[in-house]
Amino acid sequence: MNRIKIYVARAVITMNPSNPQTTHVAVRDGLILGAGSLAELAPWGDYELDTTFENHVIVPGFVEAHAHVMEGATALMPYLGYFDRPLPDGSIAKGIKSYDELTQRLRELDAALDASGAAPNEPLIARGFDPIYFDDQPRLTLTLLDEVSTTRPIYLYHASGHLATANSAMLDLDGVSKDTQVEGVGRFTSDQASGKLKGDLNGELREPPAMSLCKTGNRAVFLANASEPALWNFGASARNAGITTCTDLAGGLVLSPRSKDMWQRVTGDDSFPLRVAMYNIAAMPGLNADFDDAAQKVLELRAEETDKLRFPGVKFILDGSIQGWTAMIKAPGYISGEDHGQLLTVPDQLIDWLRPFHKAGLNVHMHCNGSLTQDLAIETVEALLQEHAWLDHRHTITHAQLTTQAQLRKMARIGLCANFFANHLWYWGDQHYEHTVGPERANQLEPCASALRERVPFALHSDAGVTPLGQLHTMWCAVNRVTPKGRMLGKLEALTPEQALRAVTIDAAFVLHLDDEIGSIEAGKAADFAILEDNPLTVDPMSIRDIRVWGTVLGGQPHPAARPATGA
Amino acid sequence: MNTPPSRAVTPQVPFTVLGGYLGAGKTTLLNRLLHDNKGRRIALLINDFGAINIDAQLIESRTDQQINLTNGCVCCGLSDGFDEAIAQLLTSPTPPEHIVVEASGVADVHSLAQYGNTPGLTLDAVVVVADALNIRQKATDKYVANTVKRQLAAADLLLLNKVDLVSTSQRSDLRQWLQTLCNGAPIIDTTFCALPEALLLGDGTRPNRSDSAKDAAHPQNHPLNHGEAYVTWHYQSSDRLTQLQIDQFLQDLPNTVLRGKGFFNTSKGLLEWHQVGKQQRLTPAEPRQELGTTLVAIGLKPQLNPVELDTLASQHL
Ligand SMILES: [Zn+2]
Repeated sequence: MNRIKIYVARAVITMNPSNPQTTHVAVRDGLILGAGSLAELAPWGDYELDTTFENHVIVPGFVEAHAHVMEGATALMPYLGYFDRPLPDGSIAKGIKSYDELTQRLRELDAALDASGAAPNEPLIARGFDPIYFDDQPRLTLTLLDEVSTTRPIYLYHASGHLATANSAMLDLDGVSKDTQVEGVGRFTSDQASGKLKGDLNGELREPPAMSLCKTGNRAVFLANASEPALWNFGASARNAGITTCTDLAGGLVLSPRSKDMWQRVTGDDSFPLRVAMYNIAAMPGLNADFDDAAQKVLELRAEETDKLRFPGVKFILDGSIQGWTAMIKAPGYISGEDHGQLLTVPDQLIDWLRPFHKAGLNVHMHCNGSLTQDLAIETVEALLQEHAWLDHRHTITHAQLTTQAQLRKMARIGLCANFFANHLWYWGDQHYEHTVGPERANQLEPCASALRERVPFALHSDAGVTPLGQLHTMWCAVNRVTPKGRMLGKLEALTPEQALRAVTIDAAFVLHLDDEIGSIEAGKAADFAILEDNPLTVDPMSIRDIRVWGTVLGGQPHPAARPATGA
Repeated sequence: MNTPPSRAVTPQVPFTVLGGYLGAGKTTLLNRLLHDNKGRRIALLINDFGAINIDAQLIESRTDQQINLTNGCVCCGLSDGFDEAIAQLLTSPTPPEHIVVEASGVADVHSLAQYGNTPGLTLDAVVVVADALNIRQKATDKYVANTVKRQLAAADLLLLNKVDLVSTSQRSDLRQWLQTLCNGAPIIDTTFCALPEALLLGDGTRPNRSDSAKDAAHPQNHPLNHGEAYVTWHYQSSDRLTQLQIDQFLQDLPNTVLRGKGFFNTSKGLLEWHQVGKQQRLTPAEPRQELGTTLVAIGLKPQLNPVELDTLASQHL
């Protein structure tokens, strides 16, 4: 047994309702012995008083119940998104707000490749661009990218994952020509000042069949997503944000066990600063789509669990996204009348697919962005419960963005949890208000306060890499519900800072069936802390996202956040 | 302009998407194809969750991602995605002669069909199977109505399956109702998805294959009719045609023509014609000395009347 360490802090916020706030926490062998005053902890015996955090605020390590290791891959390529984005090294990639900034940044990247001695035709592949923020301007085409370079192939993989824009050199490299007949290969619809004619390629590639034509760009993105450096970055970004447990909510270990070694090796490294709760995708269409077998495989993975690699359940994806008009939403539908609602499971089969996991005691998280697929998820779980009673299943509807009041009432009665995509309020709130679902439903997006009232347990998430990891930012969204254009979306659905903190700590642990081990600071739980430079419960709520994170303590080990070299 | 290297040397593998909601009969149809492939190497890409039942004696070997059949056909999974699976098939030592995708019951078949236009492939057709017993109900279902209607609209050929289970008057009501939803695609009544392979996948001798010039030049020798349920129409001429003549001929073609292929001889060279149901394509073809206009069309007996096509040809061509 190691010596007891007692941390003293400006405040220890525990998320234990019986002992909500105190000043000290005692830790031994990675476990919390207790939280209280020094006098209350002294009876544990000989201790070392650690004053590193005496001016900081200790909260439970944040738990992110919907993120993807893909977040770690965003930093492996230049980032060209609209919003500032924190990087694993602690620096911030500045958001690109105009086409001038875009071309300037691309020129810098091009010059940096030249300076590094890369061949003049070495591709430049970047990600994060999203045309939805440039909808008041002409669509981005290859004309702008060709101004940057006519020799270096350039490929912009967009934030949505459904679009890319390539320059002429990239199209040439992969043999995409005017004769290519694949739908989704963008063309100019009129003659251009740049000399391009109506029908010439405009560089945009929409949806996977067209995107697959640009093999060079597509393959680079695909390989980065599943790489070991991406996993290390994922750990670093989580630590920088105070997260100690993070899901990989579309894990691939059931489908491709060949990467199991990598996951075990990296998470098993003492310096890897994160517990990962992996929810595997159970099956893909194809020869080995066998759900009984997949449930068995998850149980086998579970038998090899470690403290830092857990397998609480599986993930199912039921539909697309609201801003892509591919979420399946109930009447009266999208305000534009446009509806590309996409079902990603066969409704009549869903119950058969879920049954083996439900019966094996494996928690199921179902991606529903739209309210219609959410009905399907609710009906299906109710039917499963009639077949096989599992009172504490905690199956969760993840995203659940357009959850109606009736759905909340029903969910409460059958034990379904929600995991709200609170970051949407900020990143796409204006688009939802103006273009997708309109004011009334935009104001009820992520109905957190209603979920509290109706007693539906819920977490809040970032869906990183869709938006950046950062539970303080996610809390800030749920508390303030503001948009970049200055709207406040539905103040009646706003949470208090304390309610929001619950949803990113103990309640997030609850939807992962891990709340007896992590998510609060109380005797017997893992010594996982987020170390903050200010108190999220007392600062001006609009500053919650600006609170600096010192780093984390994970199982009693301190992991300071990376600081940019300039010490910004 | 920097044009990519010509891909004309690589044979273009025909690509068919087979869609339709759960239970319509896709699996039955695929089993037929794999059992009786007439020597053609078919690769089946499985985009669905239901495993297709293949006779154990037909299976030569299997891995996690591929089943090899004794007759040269293969079934492949898609765990690494479509582009990866297609690339592997095209670079294999024995590339397939036809690729068929079994689309999941909720797949957007129009979008999947776009892979058929990627390099190395040529889109043959989108074939959708509808269950005569429940297609109407599915088209108003709370969850799948839009999905099912989108599939019907994307069909080049629509198989109305299980017609033996509905009355004659129900059948004709159904056909009328479907006609608008499938934008005029030919609707073929089937039972147990029984359909001549030549209609579903073509006869496998595509005019741009290196050995096919001879076949196309002597279509009358081609073994298409074996007293089967379908009829073949041939046309040959050495006249040069104008675009207007061709357009008018194709426009007036009745939709009893389920498949058509061949070449039109024009002053600007040959145009290759490909048609499956409502999908019609004209593309410039490489010059071939011995060929004039050569057309072959097939349809079901007695719906397709060759005399009607002769009249059409003499009017326009
Ligand atoms: Zn996600």
